[in-house]
Amino acid sequence: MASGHKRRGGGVSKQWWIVIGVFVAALAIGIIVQSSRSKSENAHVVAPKHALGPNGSEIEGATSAPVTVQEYADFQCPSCKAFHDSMSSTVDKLVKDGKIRFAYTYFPFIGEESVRSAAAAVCAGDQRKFFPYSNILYTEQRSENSGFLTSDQLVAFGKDAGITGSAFDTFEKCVRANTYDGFVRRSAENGSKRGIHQTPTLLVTGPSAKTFELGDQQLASSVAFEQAVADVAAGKT
Amino acid sequence: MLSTVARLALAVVWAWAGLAKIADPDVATRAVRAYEIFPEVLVKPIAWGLPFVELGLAALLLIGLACRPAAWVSAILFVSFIAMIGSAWARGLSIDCGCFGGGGVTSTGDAVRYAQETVRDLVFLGLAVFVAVGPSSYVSVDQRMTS
Repeated sequence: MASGHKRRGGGVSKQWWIVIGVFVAALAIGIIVQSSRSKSENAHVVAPKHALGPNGSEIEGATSAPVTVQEYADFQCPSCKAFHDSMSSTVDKLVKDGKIRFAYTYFPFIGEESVRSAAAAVCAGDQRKFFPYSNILYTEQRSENSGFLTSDQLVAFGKDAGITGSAFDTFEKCVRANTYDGFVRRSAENGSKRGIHQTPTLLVTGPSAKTFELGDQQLASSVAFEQAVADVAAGKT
Repeated sequence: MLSTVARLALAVVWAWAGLAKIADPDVATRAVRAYEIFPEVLVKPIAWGLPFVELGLAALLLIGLACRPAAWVSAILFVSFIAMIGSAWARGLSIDCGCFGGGGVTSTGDAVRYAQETVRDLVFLGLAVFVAVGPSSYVSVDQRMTS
């Protein structure tokens, strides 16, 4: 048998052809199978019923504000909670003073509970309660993908956020039907295409622009954050 | 004997890496994109094709068919991975390598362990080169075909 193989002289090159064949076939199969499984690729995107800011974000503050602070975040991300806990009063103050417009952009990437909670927050946004709702999601944050964020839980948070009456019924239906599942998945996909690869990421734009990521003191210090906003407003880079 | 163990270990590495990347195609896409190396048109073919290529290599190494070429291809892949991690590191990107799943996205600062990832891939590279040039291994299809 061995001599037969060697006589034909095809042993080694035949092995290479096997590997190349497997490589190409696996590549093709992978692309076909995974494109059919990709949830963002096949997402049924329903446009939210309320007005959105840049990149499908939830906005607060006057459009006349000279600086826009856009945050990419995931409700399950501990660092997003840390940013929220330490900086939301500063953000609120700057919004009230007309210095910034704040835009929250959905970037659910940690797991299915990230997608579910983000989709529920869009439902809350339809009832003009996105920001109170997101406060509750951060306050009640548990460990990632713990199973805590069920539909029942997300519906209950709606009451806590002050959604009542027929608005609550609409909200509940919206959450239970996973209405905005596709919308938030697509939002994460678009964020990734814009070069976002961690949360929280803050894009501060105005006359100039700055980007802040985890580890930057602007995410933890009010002084540094306000300085960054002032710098961007002044066109400093 | 040693080469049989190395071959099977390499098969396990590929099977593990491949399976971990298959679970969520969107996570895989983000992981590849996070390196900021490939043009957008290549991101999804790589993210979706690579795990199946890894499983293909695992299968070849497991049954011992075309082991040496499969090990060479493995070595080339590991060299590419090390280069990509090094490139991300050098450019100061803060990403997770996505080697065994994970979306290339970090939510905690200490999640970036470029050095560990590089050392790990160097060990795998050594394993692959050993299978490629080392002694023939037992219990393989190649062996049955040539003995």
